[in-house]
Amino acid sequence: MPEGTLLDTSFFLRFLNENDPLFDNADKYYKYFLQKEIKLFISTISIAEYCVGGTIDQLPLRIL
Amino acid sequence: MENIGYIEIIVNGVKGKLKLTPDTFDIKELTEIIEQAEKLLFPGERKERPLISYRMEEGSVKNIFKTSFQAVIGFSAVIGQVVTTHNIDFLELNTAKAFETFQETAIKKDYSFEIKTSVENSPLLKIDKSTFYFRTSENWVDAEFYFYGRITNAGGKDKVNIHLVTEEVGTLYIQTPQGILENLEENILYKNYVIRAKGKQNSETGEIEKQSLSFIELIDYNTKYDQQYLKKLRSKAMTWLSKIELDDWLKDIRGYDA
Repeated sequence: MPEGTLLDTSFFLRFLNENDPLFDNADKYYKYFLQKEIKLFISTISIAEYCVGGTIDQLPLRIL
Repeated sequence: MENIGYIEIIVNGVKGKLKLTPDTFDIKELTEIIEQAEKLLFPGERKERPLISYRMEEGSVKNIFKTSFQAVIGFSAVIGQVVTTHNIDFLELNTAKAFETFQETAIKKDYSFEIKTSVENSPLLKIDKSTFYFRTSENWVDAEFYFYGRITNAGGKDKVNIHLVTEEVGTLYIQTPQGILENLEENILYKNYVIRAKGKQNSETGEIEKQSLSFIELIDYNTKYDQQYLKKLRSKAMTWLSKIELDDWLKDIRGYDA
């Protein structure tokens, strides 16, 4: 398994909602991961959970 | 104890009316043997392998490959296991393929191969047209992969492919339709991308058959903080995120008691 960070559903829910109280934290974590070139992963479980409410094209798959 | 050992691959057979000897053994057949011997001894990355030297002797054609004793001991254990189980499914892909190549040649040309090592009481593996050293194909299933890496080459005259250098699985050569490369708008060389590809994977070991990979999609792996991209995603996501109470929603879909 390659090294990196596995992001879970609640991360995406907060990262995508600018009004969320934890949005800023999620966004800063995300910037930190990019800066340190840490690979980011999402699991199919998280995608499935997210898609209960949203759609897959709302997830930042380009950077995962 | 010397730290050099050897493996011996003896080829018996006839060519027309001539018995196989070093004089009747074609250089193409020799190249094949040498290539397979390297894969047998060092199935993984071969760039940093120890030296393998070669000598041919009469009888019928005796091919002797000298290399580090440690590698020879390892290989001796491998052939011991193959002789006992009559099975090559447990082997690493390259080693298994090398045995298959010998088996195919044995059937096609009616040759017999005897493989043994310099280790004391080395097992002797005999491959001829009566043996069946092939992998059980059901272990290899169709799979789809995402490979992250740097593209170092793209193109080719007949076998068009992309060379992708990855950290996890080394360099991959992914067969790619020519049209994809023709229609690319930007230069992809020496940049990081994700390639979605299909190929064969061993359902038991997870090993990927690297020669079987073919291209599905090129994904731009943009590691810069792309404000515009995220803004678009966020505005789409807000259509439903703004309507939910996040913690309750998560508890609900995960089946926790409120």
